[in-house]
Amino acid sequence: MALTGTLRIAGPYDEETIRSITGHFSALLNTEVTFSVSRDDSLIGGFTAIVDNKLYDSSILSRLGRLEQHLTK
Amino acid sequence: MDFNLLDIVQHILNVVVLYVILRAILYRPVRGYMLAREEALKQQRAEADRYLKDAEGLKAQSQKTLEEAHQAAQRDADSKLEYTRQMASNLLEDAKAEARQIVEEGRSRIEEESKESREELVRETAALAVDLAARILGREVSAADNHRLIEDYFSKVG
Repeated sequence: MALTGTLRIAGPYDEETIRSITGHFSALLNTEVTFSVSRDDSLIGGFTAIVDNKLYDSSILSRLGRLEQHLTK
Repeated sequence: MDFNLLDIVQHILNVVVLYVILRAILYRPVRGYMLAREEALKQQRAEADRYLKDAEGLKAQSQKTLEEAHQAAQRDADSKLEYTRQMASNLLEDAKAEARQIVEEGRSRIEEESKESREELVRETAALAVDLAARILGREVSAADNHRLIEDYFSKVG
C-alpha cells in the first residue's frame, strides 16, 4: 500500500535530491512513498517530512534548536 | 516672872481646843482635797503614760509601716528596673533578629537576581550564537551540503 506525505526542503536542491529522499523513505518504510514537495528556506538546510502521521526532521533549524536548549541548560 | 499654873493649863486647853477645831474644820477637807488631787494626778500620770505608750506604739507601727513601704517601693523599683532591662534586652534581640532577617533577605534577593541575570545572559548568548549560526549557515549551505546532510540523516535512521 503506497503512502503519501509532505516534504519541506531547504534550498538549494535538485530533482536528484528529491528522488534520493523518496527512495530512502520507500526503503525505510518498505513501501512506495510519494511526496508533495515544497521549498522552505527557514529550515536552513535538510528537510522535514510527514509520512503516515510521523514527523521526520533532518533540518539544521531543529539542530540549532537542540543546540540552543543544550546551551541554556 | 510669875508662872500661874492656871494660865498654863488654860493655854494648853486653848491649844488643844484650837487643834480640835482646826482638825475638824481644815485638816480633813484639805487632806481629802489633797488625796483627791493626788489621785487625779495619779490618774493623769497613768493616762499620760498610757498615751505615751500608745504614742510609742504608734511611732513603732509608723516606723514599721514606713519601713515596709520603703521596702515595697524598693522592691517595686527593682521589679520595674528588671522589667525595663528585660524589655530593653528583648527589644535589642528583636532588632538584631530583624536586622539579620533583612540582611539574609537582601543576600538571598541579590543571589536570586544574580542567578537570574546569569541565566538570562546564558539564554541571550545562546540565542545570539544560534541566530548568528543560522545566518551564516543560511548563506553558506550549498546543494552538496544539503545532499550530504540528507544522506547522513538516513544513514543514522536507516
